[in-house]
Amino acid sequence: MPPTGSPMMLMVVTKQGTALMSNSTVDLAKLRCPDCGTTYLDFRRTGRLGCPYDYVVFRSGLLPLLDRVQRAKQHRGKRPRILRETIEDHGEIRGLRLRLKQAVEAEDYIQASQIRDLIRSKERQNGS
Amino acid sequence: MDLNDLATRNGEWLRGDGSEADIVISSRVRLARNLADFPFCSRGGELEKREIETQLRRTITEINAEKPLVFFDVGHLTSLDRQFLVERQLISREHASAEGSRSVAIAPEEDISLMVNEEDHLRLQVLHSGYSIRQCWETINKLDDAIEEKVSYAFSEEFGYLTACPTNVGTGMRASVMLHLPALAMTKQIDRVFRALQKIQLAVRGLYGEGSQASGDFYQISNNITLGKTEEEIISNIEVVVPTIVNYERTARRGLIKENKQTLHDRVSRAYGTLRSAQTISSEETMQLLSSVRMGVNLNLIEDVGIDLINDLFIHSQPAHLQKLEGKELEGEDRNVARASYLRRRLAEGRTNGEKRANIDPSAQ
Repeated sequence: MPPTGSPMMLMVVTKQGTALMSNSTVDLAKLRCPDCGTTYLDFRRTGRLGCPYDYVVFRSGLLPLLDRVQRAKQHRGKRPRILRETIEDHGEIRGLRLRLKQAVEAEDYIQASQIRDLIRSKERQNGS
Repeated sequence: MDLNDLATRNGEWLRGDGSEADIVISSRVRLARNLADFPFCSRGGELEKREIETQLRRTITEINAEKPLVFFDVGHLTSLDRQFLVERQLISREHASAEGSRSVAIAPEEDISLMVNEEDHLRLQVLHSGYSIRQCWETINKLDDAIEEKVSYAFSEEFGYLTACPTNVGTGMRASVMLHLPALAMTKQIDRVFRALQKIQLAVRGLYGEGSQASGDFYQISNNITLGKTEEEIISNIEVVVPTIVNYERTARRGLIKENKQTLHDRVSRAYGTLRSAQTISSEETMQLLSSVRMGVNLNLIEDVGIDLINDLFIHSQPAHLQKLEGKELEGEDRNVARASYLRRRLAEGRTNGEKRANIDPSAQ
């Protein structure tokens, strides 16, 4: 369970897919998800997030919103029985996913399929 | 399974049996799930949507190998067919009007439908006739487990199952029951019930979900909150409330019979009379009149027609169903004329059958 009383931390992902943590008074208006390109302002305008990773990137803006709308900030329900990876995980698989996305966008399906196999084998290692 | 065959049946949600079926029409649980590796649908390109579809279709086919579901490519259906699936509660209005690659997998009994590329990558739905919210949860939970073994869902330890809209995050679960509450509506007590429900974080919606009218006195009651409670707690909350509302409705019906039987009998009989003789009638008026007749049948004020037929007519008189049954597209006034004619014919047949049943039933002699 994440520390709820700790100072607000924000995860920033660099182009290489590695994560840095920075203390913040975060300027929410400047946030943009490196995975899907959605900005925090897009989210506030449409009410829809762009990708699962937005929950990490926009966390500091989402927490007060969830507190107000859902009257809760922490999931207490079901969780996957085989949890391969949570969205808070970062590093290797995350980086591979970015490369996969780029390969698909470039329509390089051979490379995309190789990267996908690699991701699957890593997931299997994590899941076992 | 063919959509035209479905049109002649009345589907799971209006089958009219199950516990407390005179008031609790149906119970439903929906789960919103997303694949970890893709952007949410509003942000996804066509290529990504197709890949999501391929992956989920393969998974759904594998896990239901013994009892196959039938896939419909919603993007390629006519608008009439999409509307038809909405009327049957098999897809949402949002799914019908969305764009790009999307599909739905439906069980032949229509109790399971899995929407792919709706607002979320996967929306699972289990729907049963009558009051059976717990069975719905048990079925959908197993289905979700089976899918989860084969795909990576977007999940966070902190926020649970991640969804495109934060109002669904956490359990991703919407549990609802559809209630027929004509007496509470007639006696104007319904607003008080709604206010009480809102206080305990339950939402009230019309027949077709968010923003829809409570036509035919059908009301959907569902959980507002998806985060911070377990699925069990969400189901229990509904289970506490539904029997209370059912009791209120029964009390209101008894009160009407006791104090205003003449007025009530007159009202349901006039409704029945209009349905049997109208030459043109809108969908909305049909729903209102059927609602009165349905209560009249349940209270034995109308005895020559069965509740099954009335349940049937609720769905068959809807615009897309009517056009499917008539075998052609009908606009505006033509549709209202066709609806009136359809209702007259079915109700006349229903009365004949009702009389035949009465003749062979020894207790009726």
